[in-house]
Amino acid sequence: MDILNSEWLIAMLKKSSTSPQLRLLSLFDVLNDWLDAPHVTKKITPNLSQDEHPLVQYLTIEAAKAGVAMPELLANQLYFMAIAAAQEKLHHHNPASLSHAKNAAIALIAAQTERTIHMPRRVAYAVAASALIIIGSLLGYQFWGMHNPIYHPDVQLLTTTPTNGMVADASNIAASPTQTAALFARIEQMRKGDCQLIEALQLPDSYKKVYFENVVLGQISTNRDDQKLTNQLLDMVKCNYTPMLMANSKS
Amino acid sequence: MSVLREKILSTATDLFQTRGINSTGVDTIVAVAGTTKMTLYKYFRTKEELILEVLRKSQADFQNWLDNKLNTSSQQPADKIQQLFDFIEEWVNSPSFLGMGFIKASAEFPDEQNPIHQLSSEQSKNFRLYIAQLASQANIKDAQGLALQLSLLFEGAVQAEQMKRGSGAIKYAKQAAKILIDGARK
Repeated sequence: MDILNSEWLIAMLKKSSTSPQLRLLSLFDVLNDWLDAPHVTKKITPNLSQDEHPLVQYLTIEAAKAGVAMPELLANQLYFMAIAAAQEKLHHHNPASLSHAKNAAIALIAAQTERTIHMPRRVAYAVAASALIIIGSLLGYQFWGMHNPIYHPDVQLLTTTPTNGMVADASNIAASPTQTAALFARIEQMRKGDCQLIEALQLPDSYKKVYFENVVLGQISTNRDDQKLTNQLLDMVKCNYTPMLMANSKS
Repeated sequence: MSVLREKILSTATDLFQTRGINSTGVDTIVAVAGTTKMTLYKYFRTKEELILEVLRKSQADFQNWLDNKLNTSSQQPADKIQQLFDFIEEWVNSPSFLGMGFIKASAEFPDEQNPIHQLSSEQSKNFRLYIAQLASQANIKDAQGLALQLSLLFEGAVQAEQMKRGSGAIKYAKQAAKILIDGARK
């Protein structure tokens, strides 16, 4: 079976997730599962001339939906990385190759969703001034909040971004097993719903890693601060848990 | 090395990179090199032997160039792994960049039993080991894992760049490499 040119692979990717970013990343999971499946003739044949290659076309469309800077380029890179990783697993028996390729793909998507905004100097000054006013207001609010009986410490992490961008390293204190279990339960609950994940490009760089690892991949960190941030990011994910039939009957 | 042998080798290297290995016949190589088939077969018994020698020399040249760049760099050992991608970006973006020998050869000879595929596969593995050494020098715990991630990124970017010059693939691969390296340091 020419897996890379199969309709089955694209169908598997289509149904893998509601998020285009996750559908792109599913390429590595689906190939990994296929290589582990019994009684399947496994052969990875790269298509050198990718003209009208259905898989690359599909990846390009999904990459565009995910808001990356250069969808076709990302699609090609993911395609080549998936082939190399699958061949590594198939011929050199490296069981983790597709998982490593997926990590590299996550980083590549993050690199392509970082926006570089070029604005005229006058506009930049105006934006900087507005930002200073907003930060000032937030600090003032926080100062007030610390002396207010209804102060919520959980909100602190998102409103006070560390200047060095090292959110994950802000503290090495491990979360309690109960907190970790609760977060796992939240992620599991999210998987059952029809959820609209937040776009990574809207997040500050320092949050992207925590977002991808914890929310997107479900690899829950044991770090307390990472878990706090993950919980706050999960608050931003909108989920609909209404069963499909019930939702249809309401409308 | 004989001047003629060197001439045949450099001509074959250029032709393989620009036209593809399978699409370049021995007749073309001898015509461009200004020699005869008899001379070519005096130095290389078969076309396969010539291809293998081209791959070995290309890889040695690339490795020597990288070693030289990194050894003369003033960066700390911990930062050299990131700098590797700076050098690769410069090289890929240079007008003379024609592609990576072992990546092209591996794609043109997909049969695992083929000696050309085996050599290109070994060269890919050696490059990954080289990255793993740099990762170890940077005190990264999972040096092997990071090396695999970075080599997949690098090879994917070079293949994309080989398809379309000036694609910007290596720029994004470099940014992604930084994310992975920073993540692996934690």
